Amino acid sequence: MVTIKDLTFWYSKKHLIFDQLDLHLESGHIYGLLGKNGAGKTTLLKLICGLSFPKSGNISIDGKIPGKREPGFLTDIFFVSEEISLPSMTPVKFADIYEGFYPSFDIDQYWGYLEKFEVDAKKKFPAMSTGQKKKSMVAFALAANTRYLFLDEPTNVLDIPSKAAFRTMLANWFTEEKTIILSTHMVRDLESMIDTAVILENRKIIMNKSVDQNLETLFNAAISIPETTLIPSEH
Amino acid sequence: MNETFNINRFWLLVRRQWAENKKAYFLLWGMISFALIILALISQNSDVYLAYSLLFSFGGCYLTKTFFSRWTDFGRSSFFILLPASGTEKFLCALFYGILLYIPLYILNYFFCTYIVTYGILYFICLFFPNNLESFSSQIMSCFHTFAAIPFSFYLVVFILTFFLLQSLCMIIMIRFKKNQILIFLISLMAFLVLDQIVLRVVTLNMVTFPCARIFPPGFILTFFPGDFSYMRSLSSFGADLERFTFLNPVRSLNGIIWILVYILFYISAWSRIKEREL
Repeated sequence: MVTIKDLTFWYSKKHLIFDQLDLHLESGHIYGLLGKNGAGKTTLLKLICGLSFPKSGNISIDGKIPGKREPGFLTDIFFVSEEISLPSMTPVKFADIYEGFYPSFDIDQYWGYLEKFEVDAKKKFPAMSTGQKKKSMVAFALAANTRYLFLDEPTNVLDIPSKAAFRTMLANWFTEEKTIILSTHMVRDLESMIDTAVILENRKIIMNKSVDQNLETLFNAAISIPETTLIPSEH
Repeated sequence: MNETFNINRFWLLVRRQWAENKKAYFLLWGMISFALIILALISQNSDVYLAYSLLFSFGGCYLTKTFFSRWTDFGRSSFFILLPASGTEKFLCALFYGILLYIPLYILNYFFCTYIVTYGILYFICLFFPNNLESFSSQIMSCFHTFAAIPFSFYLVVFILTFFLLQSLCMIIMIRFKKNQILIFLISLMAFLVLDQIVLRVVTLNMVTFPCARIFPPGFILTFFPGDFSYMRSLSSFGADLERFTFLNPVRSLNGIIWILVYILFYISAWSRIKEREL
């Protein structure tokens, strides 16, 4: 359970990112963190993970404070950033080095995900494309089996087959004990996955509700994009 | 779960650090070895302790840099910060490589390069000039004797204290700043040394009687080594030979203790900055 109370945050005092923001996220959901560019989606994920600290207010995940970065808390979360930068080694070596940090890591799952993503496990990361690196990281994140998974723009460099594979994997991986928070502005890529939409606008959460209609329409209505400016849906 | 220190997590970090940086470490080892050989050749005719000291210290700084210099790379640094290990373990891992492994390995490398390789080369040179040839073993032994004959306090001041100053300062800057870390480090180091010189000057003017202390131009005393109160140099008159002054033992010991406390504070500050590092 993620609880955020009266969160205020800024990088520069002149430009508040969040002002007295409140948010409550229950386990067993796939949350879509939506918002326009610059709304603070990545920043909110960073705050929830403990990469940044609130200027005021509180954040807790299952009663633990992310900013303390206690190992017991860190084994329960995994954050896949939008930018992926990996060391000069193969996915095989990467798993060998890092699996020990995550008690629930399942190496067979990892091979399975890499295979589904068609990533060559014996090729070094620097020789891979950005998309392949991202897929390797997503595969590792899923195999780590943490209770909380935070994905920042997970599909933005994936090709169409990989996006489909990603959705399938995520659906199979997800259980009632787990929580996924996906930050995206590519609503169409992930709308079938998301069960609850959290929309950020003007330093606040303007919507936190179950998705029972077309997510893109919901998003556009929430952030008041006039219908006339919208490009017709591909669906 | 022990949230502060767990030996398994620590070894995982050590292993991770080696796997990710072994090429950089071998490169550093190669560069230090090369520099040691060159220095050993030069030092046949002169003392190059300052160069040895700087090589030793900057090598330690480079090791620190491999740990904490990637803050602008968000993908890499976010993964490092969120790696399930405590800030203490990450800090101790940096010290493990930067101090525990580096210092003995540097000393071994120093002996290897300076006394084996260089004298091996000289031995072959001497083959062409048999009249000047001393026995190889006696040459090596004389070098070890030279090393052992110098008081430990000299190594402490020239090498160890300089090393800890540079490494702890480097560590704080690498952790604290995202960009231009090397530039900030060099500027800070220069500022620190200028401050050190001013303090030294004030102290020397008040604590010892230098007949001509007041004619020192600022910064003339290039003692460089922090806490080097053992030997202060002054000009008895312009153009004359350098004179050496020695402080009393208790003053020197107190000075060493003060510097060690300063370094401990620097390291503690670096440790707390890891925990507070934001991205």
